[in-house]
Amino acid sequence: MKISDIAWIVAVKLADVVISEVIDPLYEDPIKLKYARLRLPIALRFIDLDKFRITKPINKRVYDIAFIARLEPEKGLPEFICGVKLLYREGLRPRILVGGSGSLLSLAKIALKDLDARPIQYISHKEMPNVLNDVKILVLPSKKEGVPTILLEALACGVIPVASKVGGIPWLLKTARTGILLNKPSCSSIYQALKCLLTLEPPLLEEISRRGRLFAEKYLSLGSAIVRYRILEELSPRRSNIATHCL
Amino acid sequence: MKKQGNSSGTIAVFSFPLPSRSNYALLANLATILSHVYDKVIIVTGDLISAFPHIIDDLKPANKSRIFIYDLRVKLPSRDRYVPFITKLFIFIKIQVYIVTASIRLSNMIKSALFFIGIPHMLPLILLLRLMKKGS
Repeated sequence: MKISDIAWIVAVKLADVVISEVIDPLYEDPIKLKYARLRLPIALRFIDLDKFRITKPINKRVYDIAFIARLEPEKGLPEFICGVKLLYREGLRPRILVGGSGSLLSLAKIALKDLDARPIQYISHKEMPNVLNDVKILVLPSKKEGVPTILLEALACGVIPVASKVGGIPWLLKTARTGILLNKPSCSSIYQALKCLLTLEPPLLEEISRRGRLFAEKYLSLGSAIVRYRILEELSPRRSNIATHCL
Repeated sequence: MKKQGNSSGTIAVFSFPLPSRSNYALLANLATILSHVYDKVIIVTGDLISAFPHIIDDLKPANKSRIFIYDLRVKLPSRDRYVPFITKLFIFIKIQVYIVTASIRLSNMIKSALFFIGIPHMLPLILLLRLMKKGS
């Protein structure tokens, strides 16, 4: 065990409450769960739902598939490229968007050269709603995640996610009843998930896309976040002795 | 910041200075939510001011009059350039001293303390607040 892990455990033990974004304890970091006096899964952030909304129906979007993340091995870029290449080998020719930069940028450029793919190194947060409204499927094959902001924003824009079973992602996708969870973010599982979604009938895609938006309206609004956090106020001591919370 | 005896409805959010702008966006998101729950939200961190242009949108729906910033006036060295270990250690100790000082100065103003990013690094502070709680 590393020193930082020990520090984590002591900190968590000392805190009155541990707040987490991950709702489902099955996928929570075991350190937080095991030693917390009280764990409250209330820390899911909010998204600007006016900015991140569906402005283009899913079947009219330009890119079939997008990968938007830091281009690093832990984000699953090599597996994504491999999965997409299998689709091309089978005769499917999805349009692809790869957004982000990182140590694998040159590898991505070379690997995507023969595909119908557009790499964008930097997408500003202002542009993100427009970019997401041009995407049908977002692939997030990360090896480790908490609750990725890009996934929340994608759901709000009706993008269908294909994401690995880590951190807060399983709860999000199961509750939203959208997208496909990858048991392992491998080349073949990405290929199979994408093939399944790309061959769906347009009305069904539309329905799945709408579910993501409905989830966002229910759980990701500022109002719902405020309601979740109010419990902290109620738990805090009435006098001046300080309650401690770890996020 | 002026000290006030009444701590009711005040929360302090302690965060180690953050390594990237996206982390500050998360902090702004949290501050926005808390500003609608608590009367006063005190953000204790370093280098938040320079991240302001990037988080201004995230703070738009916040109850801004309730958010206060306690700037530690110290930031983490950039990840992109080499920094000698001794410099890193010096910065780490400096942050520890500043953050503990901040907590002592704020202790009778706050009702709750929330620790955000860098929790293992803030262990001395958590211990201190725990001891203060016992002592009160």
